[in-house]
Amino acid sequence: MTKNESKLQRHWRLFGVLLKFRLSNQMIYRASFWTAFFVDVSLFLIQMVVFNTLFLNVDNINGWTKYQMVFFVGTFTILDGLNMFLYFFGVINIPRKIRTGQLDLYLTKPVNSLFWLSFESMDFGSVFITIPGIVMVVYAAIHLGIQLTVGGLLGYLLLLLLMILLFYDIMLIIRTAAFRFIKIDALGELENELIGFSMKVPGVVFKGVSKLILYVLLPYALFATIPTQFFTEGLTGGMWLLVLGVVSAFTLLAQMLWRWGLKSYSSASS
Amino acid sequence: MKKYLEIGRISMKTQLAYRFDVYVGALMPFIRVFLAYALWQVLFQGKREIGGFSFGMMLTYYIIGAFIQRLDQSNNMVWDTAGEIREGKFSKYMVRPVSPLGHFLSVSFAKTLYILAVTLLTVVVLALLFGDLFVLPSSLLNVLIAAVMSLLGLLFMALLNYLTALLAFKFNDVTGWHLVKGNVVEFLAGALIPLSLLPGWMQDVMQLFPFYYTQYLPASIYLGLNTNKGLQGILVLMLWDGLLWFLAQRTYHRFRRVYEGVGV
Repeated sequence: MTKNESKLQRHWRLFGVLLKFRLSNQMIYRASFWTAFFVDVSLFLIQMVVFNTLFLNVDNINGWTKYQMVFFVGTFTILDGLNMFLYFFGVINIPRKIRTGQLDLYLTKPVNSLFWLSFESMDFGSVFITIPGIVMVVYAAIHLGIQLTVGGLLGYLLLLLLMILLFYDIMLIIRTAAFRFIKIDALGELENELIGFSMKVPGVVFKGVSKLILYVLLPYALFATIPTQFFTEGLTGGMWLLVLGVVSAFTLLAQMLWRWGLKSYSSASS
Repeated sequence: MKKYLEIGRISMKTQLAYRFDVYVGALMPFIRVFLAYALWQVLFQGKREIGGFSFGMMLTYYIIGAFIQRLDQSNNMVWDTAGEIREGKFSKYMVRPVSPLGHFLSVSFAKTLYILAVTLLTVVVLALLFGDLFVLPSSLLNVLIAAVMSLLGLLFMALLNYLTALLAFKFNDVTGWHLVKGNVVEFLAGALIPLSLLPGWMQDVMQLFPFYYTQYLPASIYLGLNTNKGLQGILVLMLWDGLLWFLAQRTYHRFRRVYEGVGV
C-alpha cells in the first residue's frame, strides 16, 4: 500500500484482490461455480410460468401490460444476478461469522472489515443470470415501442445502481440483528419471502398503507418497479426524490447499525 | 420409540432458547397473506371469480397454504445435516444406537409441534382480521381429510429433505440441488398461485407429482373444492411416503460404506 493512496483507491485495490482470490477459488470447485446460475434460472423459469398463468386470467396488473411485466421481471433478474455476483453470499454469511466468532479474524486485519466480508464471496456464475434478464428487457422494450435514448439508458443504469445499493443496505441491516439475537434464520426466511414477492409483484399494485410500508419502511417494492417505471412510462420528480431519500436513509442506517453491532460484539466465547 | 421422543423433547427445548427466531417465523404467514392480499385485490378488480376462487377464498387459500408451509421444519435441517456430513460430524449418528432417519424425523416433528402452537395463533389472528373474507371450512370431514393429507405431506417433505441431505455423502455440496428443489416444490405445491389457475393439461400433469397433494389439495379441500380427490390424495401420499422411506434407508446404507468421516 502506498502512502498517497486514497481511501477509494485502497478499496478498489482490495476489491481487485478479492476478485482474483475468489475466481481462483471458484475454478477449483467447478460444480459450485454454476450453482447460483442454475438456482436462479429455475426461479426465472417458474416466474415466467406464473406470470403467463396470471395473464391467462387477467388483462393487466393495475394498468401494467404483459410486456411491462416482462420488462419488470427482466430488470429484477439483472438486479438479482448482479447482487449475487457482488455481495449476496458474503453478506448472507455474516450471522454465522458472528455466531462462531470467525468475525475476529476480519476485525484484526488492517482493512475495512465490512468491505472484506461483503465482497469476499463474489460468485462469478451469477453474472450469467443477467443475460436472460437483458434479453427480456430488450424484448419487452421492442414490443412496447420504446425509443432508446442516452438519457433513458443512463437513468435506467443509475437507478439499477441505486437499487443494488438499497438491496445491500437492507440485507446488511437484517444481518446486524445477529449481534443481538445470535440466531436469525427466520429473519432470513422473511427476507426471502419479501424478495420473492418483490420479483413477482410490481410496486404499482400497492396503495395507501401497503404502499407506505413497501416503498419506505421495507422498500422491497422499489427494486425492479422504479427502473421499469422510469424506462416504460417515466418517473416524476417526487419519485426521484423518494428513491434518493430512501436509499440515503437506508445506507446511513445500515452503516450505523453495523458500527453499533461491532461495539456490542464480544466474540463467540462470551 | 422412547429415545426418539427424548430427542424430540430436547429439540423443543432448543427452540425455546431461540424464541426471537420462532416469533419472527410466526410472522411469515402474515407477510405472505398481506402480500397476497395486495396482489389479488388488484387482480380481482371488476371480477367476482378467478380460477374458481372468489377473493375471500383466494385469501383463505393463502392463509391455509402459508400455515401448512410453515409447519414443514425439515427444509432448514438439510443445511445442518449436510454440513455435518461434509465436516465429518455425522459419525456421531453412526456410533449411537439411533437411526439417523429417526433422529432427523424426531427433530423435524418436534420443531413442527412447537411451531404449530405459535402459527395456529397467527392463523386465528389473520382470520379475525379478515372477518367475513375468511372462508370457514366447508365441513368438519373436509378439515379432517385436509389435516390427514397435510400430515402425510409433512412426512413426505421430511423424507425428501432427508434424502437431499444424504446427497452430501456423494457430492459434498448440496446447496444448488436443495435451492432448485425448493423453487420447484414451491411452485408444484401451489404455494405461489393456486394450481387451478394453470391450464387444464398442466393441472393433469401436476397431479402426477406428490407435491400437488401436500399443499394445494388440502387447502382446496378445506375450501370445499376438489373434495372428490381426498381419498386419492391420501393414498398417493401414503405410497410416496413408503417409497421415500425405503429409498432413504437404502441410500443411507449405501452411502455410509463410502463415508470416511473426515471433514472437508
